[in-house]
Amino acid sequence: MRDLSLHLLDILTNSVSAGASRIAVSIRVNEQEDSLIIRISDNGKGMAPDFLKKVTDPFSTTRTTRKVGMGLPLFKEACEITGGSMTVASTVGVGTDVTARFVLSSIDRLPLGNTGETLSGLISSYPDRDFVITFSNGQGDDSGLDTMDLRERLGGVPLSEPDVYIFVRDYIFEQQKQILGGI
Amino acid sequence: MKSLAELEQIKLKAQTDMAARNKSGKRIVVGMATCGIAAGARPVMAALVEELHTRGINDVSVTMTGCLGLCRLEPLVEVIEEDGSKVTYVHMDANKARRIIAEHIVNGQVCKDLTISAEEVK
Repeated sequence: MRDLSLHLLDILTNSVSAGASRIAVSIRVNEQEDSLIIRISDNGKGMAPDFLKKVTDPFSTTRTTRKVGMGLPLFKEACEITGGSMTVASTVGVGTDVTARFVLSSIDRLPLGNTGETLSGLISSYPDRDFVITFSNGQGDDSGLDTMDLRERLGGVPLSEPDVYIFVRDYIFEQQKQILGGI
Repeated sequence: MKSLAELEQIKLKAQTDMAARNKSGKRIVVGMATCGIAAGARPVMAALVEELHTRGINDVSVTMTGCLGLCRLEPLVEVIEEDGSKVTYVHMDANKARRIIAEHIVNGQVCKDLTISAEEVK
């Protein structure tokens, strides 16, 4: 994967497959702590403790089309190569929480990429689910987008409309650049 | 800068359009599992939506799907007709995606050189 927003897309499709109706992404930068933290929380079906233990093993997957599952192992690798760490917490029937902490200044840290294009693709493909993305920079600046707000403003226009896709993509990417800069 | 106020215009435009829309029933799906994403499926989806949007085509949906089981041929795109018949395009990129909209969706001509059957005989 070329950037973190592509890893994010991959992890978010796991939440969708787990039947989550609300999926929240938080991306926080803290320059004092030299950290970039990406957290994905969903209210999907969760994972049993046995599966959770081996979830970062590339040979564990719930899919049936192939026998390998590379999403979380690759994300973990991208995180650990910077000197950071990734944790996955999950409860059956409640949801899953993936938190990845990257060392911000590490030369091996992938750039964040375009989270707007990641979210717009998901929102238009799964217009009945709710997605929330929040950016914060540790200096009191917060911004993002919540599809609940979007849906209310659009008054019945489906989130799968191409106009909405383009708006969401550009809006989120602008918020990302404004709050987090060019990380 | 984009503002949430723009959504009001999008809403009004879509509500007017939707009333006059004929549903073609055509769908385009893009494989977006780890294999597809790593091979470049996300910009393919963006190019498909942009090209439809530029041409004012609003009766064809573009959605992502999981792994189609042909990881070595990713990025994969399927064009599915109303009757369920489909054409599978392989090794896609943004330029090929725009070509599919122009030739397959607008002109009704399958881009044979980009299909899975053309790839399999190579």
